[in-house]
Parts: sequence; C-alpha cells; structure tokens
Amino acid sequence: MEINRVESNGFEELWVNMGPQHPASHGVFRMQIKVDGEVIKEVIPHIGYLHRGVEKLGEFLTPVQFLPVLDRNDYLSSVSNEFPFALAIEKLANINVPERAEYLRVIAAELMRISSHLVFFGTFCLDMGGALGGGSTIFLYAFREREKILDIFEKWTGSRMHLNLITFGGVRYDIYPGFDKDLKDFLKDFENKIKEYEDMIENNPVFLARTKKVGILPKEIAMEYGCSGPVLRGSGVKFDLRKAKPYSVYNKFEFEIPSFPDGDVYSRYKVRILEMKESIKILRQAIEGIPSGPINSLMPVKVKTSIKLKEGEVYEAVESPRGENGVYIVSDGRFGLYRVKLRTPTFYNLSVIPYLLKGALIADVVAILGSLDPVFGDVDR
Amino acid sequence: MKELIEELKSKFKIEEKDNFLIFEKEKIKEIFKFLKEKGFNFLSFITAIHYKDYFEAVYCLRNININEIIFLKTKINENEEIESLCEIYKGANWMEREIYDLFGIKFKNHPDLRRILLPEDYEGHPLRKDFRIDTPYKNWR
Repeated sequence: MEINRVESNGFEELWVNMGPQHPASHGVFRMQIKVDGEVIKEVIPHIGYLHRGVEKLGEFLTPVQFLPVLDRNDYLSSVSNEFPFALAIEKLANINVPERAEYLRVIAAELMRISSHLVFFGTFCLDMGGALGGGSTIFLYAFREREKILDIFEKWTGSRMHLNLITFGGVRYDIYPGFDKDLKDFLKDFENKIKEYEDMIENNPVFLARTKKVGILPKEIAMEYGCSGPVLRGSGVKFDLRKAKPYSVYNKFEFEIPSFPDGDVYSRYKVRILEMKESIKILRQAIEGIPSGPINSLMPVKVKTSIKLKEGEVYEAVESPRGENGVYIVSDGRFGLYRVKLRTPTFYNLSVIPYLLKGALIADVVAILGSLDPVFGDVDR
Repeated sequence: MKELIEELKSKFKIEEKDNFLIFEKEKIKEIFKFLKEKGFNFLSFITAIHYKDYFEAVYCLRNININEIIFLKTKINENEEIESLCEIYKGANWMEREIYDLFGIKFKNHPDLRRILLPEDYEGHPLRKDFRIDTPYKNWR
C-alpha cells in the first residue's frame, strides 16, 4: 500500500491508495482515498483495468459469434448476459421461441442467480473477516452449495460457468434424463442450508454492528445514479424487470420482490438472501410446469451461422443478479450489427461509490464495496 | 403517457420517430428538468452512435412509479459540444465520461471530464467508425 502524507490546517490528511490488486475489491479496482483520521473525505475511483473493447468487437463479429463473447462479461452469471442479446436479436429477426425453450431459459437464469448470489454471500462474509469465525467458514459453505449448481450445469451443458446455453430461437441443449430429480434434491437441501446460514449470520452482533446503518443510500440518489437490482431494492424501491416488464415466461410464476427501506449494507445483503428463496420458488414452479416440445425454432442449431436482421433499433433488458442488464442494438440491415451498447448493471451500481464512501469510516470501505457486488468484467467490458 | 408526449411536443418542438423522441440539443437542460419533475428520475443509460459525419446521443429514462420507459435522441455534429446533465442527474458523470472516452464527444460544464475506461495517455476514440481495431497502443510496455 502506497501512502502519501499531506498536511493541512494543522490536521494530517492522508491519501491512501487501495488496489488495483486488493483481495477485497473483487477484481481489479483502484481507489484513491483521502482520510482525515478514520473518516473518508474524498474518493477517486479508477476503473478500466479489464477493458476489452467488447462493444467494438460486436461490430465486427456476427451475432452468432458474438454470443459466447458476452458470457465473459459478467462471468458469475453468464446466462443473464446472453439473455437480453438473444431477446434483442429475436426481435430484430422475427424469430419466435418455443415454450419449452423459454422454461429452460428461466431455469438456467434462476439457477445462475442462486449461484451468483452465493458468490456474493461467501465473499461478502469473507470481507467481514474475523467477525465470522475465522472468516473463511461461510465462504467455504457458500462455495460448497455453488459447486452443486455448477455440477448440474456441467451435466446439462458441458461447461460450468460460461454455458453458451441460450441461442437465437431457443436453447442449445435439452435437459438430461434425471434433471428434475437432481434439481429437486438440490432445492430441498439448499432451502434448509439458507436457514442455517441466516441463523449463523443474523444473530452475530459483530456482523450486525458492521452492516446496519452503514453506507446508507437514499432511494432518490440510487435512482439518479441508475442503480438497479439488489442495490436499488435495498433502498426501498420495488423495481424488478421480471415483474415490471415480464420477459420470457416470468408472468406465469408467482414470486415476490423483496425490498427494504433502510438502504444500508444490511438491507442489500438481506435482499439477496431473500431473492435466493424466491428463485427456489420459481424453480419449483418451472420444473413442475415444463411443457414438452422442441427446444429451438431454428433447428439444427449448428448450421445456422448468419441471421438476417431487419433495419432498426431495439433495446431489451433482463433482470440479472446485479440489476438491469440491457442490450441496445442499432442494425442497418446487414448481417452484422452497426452498434451494440451493453448496459451492464455494475458499471452504474459502482458509480455511486464516491457518494457512499464520503463520510464513512475507513474500516467500512470493504463492507460497502462488497455490498454493491461488483464484477469487473461487467464494469469494464 | 400520451399526454406527456403531446406536452413535450408542443413545449420543446420534439419530434417522434419509431419510439424515439428527437430533440434539439440546445434545449437539453430544460427538457430533462421537465421530465425529472414529471417523475422520470431514473437515468438508465446514456450512449452514442457514430454515423459517417455526425453523432447521435441516446438517453434512456425510466419512471418507476408508473413503470414507463422513454428514449430521447439528439444529433451532434463533429467537433460540437453538448451540455452535461450532471447537475440534474448525478449519475450522468460516469456515463458522459464513458462517451467522451470512447467517442470523443465533449460535454460542456462537466465537473470531471477525463477518460474512464482507457488509460489517460491513450490516443484516439475506439468506438468511432474510422478507428481501426489493429491500432497499437503507443505507450504499451
């Protein structure tokens, strides 16, 4: 850690540099923090260490080639990156999707949501450090559960994180025989485990002292900054694209949108825990109601390499585990895309960090940053 | 919602074209102040598109109470500036920095207009159509 000393008005103010390589920053993120004693006066964030020019790449690849590249953006929830892009291309090319494929997409997206929130839960508790029994206990518990989800994905699609499952007109792989048993076993087991974790964490006075009334984000500020997902819902706004603008078959399922009015670190944590429970509900309904039929309207999948798009502009968004994940496409009627804008949620969620950290204590930096759940592949694109 | 669009059309000479409201860039501040008062206080994203000799800036706003989304567009010629929205929406800060970084569009009265994703000594703006993707980065080491 590099420290510069600055003296002013008789008090000592320090510029502390955090990152770009820092275990608690969940990726490569650098902050210059000006502290007066323990209180933060100013924060200058620096992003872009993982910038890969994905939007420019999209102008040179065909949509079919571009789809697996999108997986690598928010690498913890790859399905929710493919989802809006597939929806947008289907709208531009007038492709319809069979109902079974819609169900499979929802199942994959909700399983990914649980696995992504488990990574948040584990790393967040790891950041809280010694307060939680040596730190890595909860982290290993969360990753143990996540492993089971990744095993299901491996059996289903052949890969664990970058599924490349959704394709234009449906999905690429059908579920295997015995999938519903695997899923139901996991859900039954996981439901009990969540209760266990909640009991462990939420009765811990150290955890509560470090999260409650820390990093308060009022809802007006959250909306001005374009925060979405659990960050917005943690500030008391009940906004979820699955309910607000139901895409795919989300209007067929019954679920709630958890939200808490406090806007502190604890509410953002609690929203994610409750969202996992809602995902369990959706998954149970989806696996019961899954219809039979084709999984893709453009069979065979592998031959279809170019899709003719009509001229126009389209914006499609889905609710990823981190918020509103949108794709805005401008097409000029060729096979490629003229311009593709990825509205990745964590870029907007992270932009609120100078506001949140101003006036906070230096010990709370890691808790506040962790509660925003940034993924730097998603921020920098 | 229809009334709002009619009001916008008569007040600010906005035209409507395939779901996009096209406005003149001189009136940007009045229009967005008006929309914010009407409840469109969720700034979803700002982006730009480069055509051969001009840019288009696209603004997306949401009203969460009535669950509506609105897209606004304006034309910016090469070497022209546009007024920053940072006073009205604080989140415009990073979004406008991103556009400045990738397109080179300058925003007037922006508090901190620096590159955000690319290094500060980078030359060129990658999302312009005349940028070649094999351009080397000079200061690479």
